[in-house]
Amino acid sequence: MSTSTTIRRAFADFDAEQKWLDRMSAEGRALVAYSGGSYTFAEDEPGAWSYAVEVVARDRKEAEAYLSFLEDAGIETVAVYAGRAYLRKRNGGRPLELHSDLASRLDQARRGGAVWTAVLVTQIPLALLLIADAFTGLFSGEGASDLAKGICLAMGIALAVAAVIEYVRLGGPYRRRIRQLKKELSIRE
Amino acid sequence: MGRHDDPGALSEPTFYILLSLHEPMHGYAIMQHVQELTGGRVAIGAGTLYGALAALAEKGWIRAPGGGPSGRRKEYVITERGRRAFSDEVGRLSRLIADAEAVAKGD
Repeated sequence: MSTSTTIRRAFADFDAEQKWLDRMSAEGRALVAYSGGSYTFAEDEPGAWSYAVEVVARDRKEAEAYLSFLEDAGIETVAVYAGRAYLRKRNGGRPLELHSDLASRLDQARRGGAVWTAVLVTQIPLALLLIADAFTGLFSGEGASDLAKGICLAMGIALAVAAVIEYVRLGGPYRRRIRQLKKELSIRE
Repeated sequence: MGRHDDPGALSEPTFYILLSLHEPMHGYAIMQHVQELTGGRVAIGAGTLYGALAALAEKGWIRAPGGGPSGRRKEYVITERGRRAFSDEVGRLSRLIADAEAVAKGD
């Protein structure tokens, strides 16, 4: 009888996530569902599946066309969550490489890393607004209490610090990969 | 004309996709054909192939004769414009080999 286990984990790097899923598969635990950081595994033949995590188009029809194309190539969609598709294929123990040339890998790294730039770009103005409000009462009104202003200031600072940490720590691996791939592309395809 | 419009070398996947599409073929068949043709040396990933097919169709170098945009197992075939671009690339590669051989013979 097949049993399933659910593990909660957070990854910022698709490659690390993919390698972990492949390691789990090698141990006989195959990913069968994913949602919001919860990975559900079912018992399966060790190493039966190889996994890939791919950024898919925001447009639903476009994403479906791509996933259907992959399905024709024997690649199953396990789950689609927040613009990421969790894919798998019976690949004889070899890693599932969806992108075989440098330009395509560079495009994938750019798409994967773009989310952390978007986080920075959206969080920083919000943080600045909260900090500005704490000093000027622009939005909360001049009669706002010192406690309310203090909370606003603390939230603004926390948000700004979180945005910078996310950009540096979580977006960093993608930016390093983009630099590395660009160097490679300057000498070969 | 292709050469004039699109200077620069074709990538290896693009070269083999255009070569394969001298006969109508769907995506997965292209991947298999390229692997067989090159004895496994060139393996085009499904993600790479999907992007390349979309880019080549946009340039008018290939077309999908039968399928609509959401058609499953859509077949593609090279166009006249694609043939010219491919032929230009073959000429460029021949000149490259000739140059290499001319210099290497002098060693």
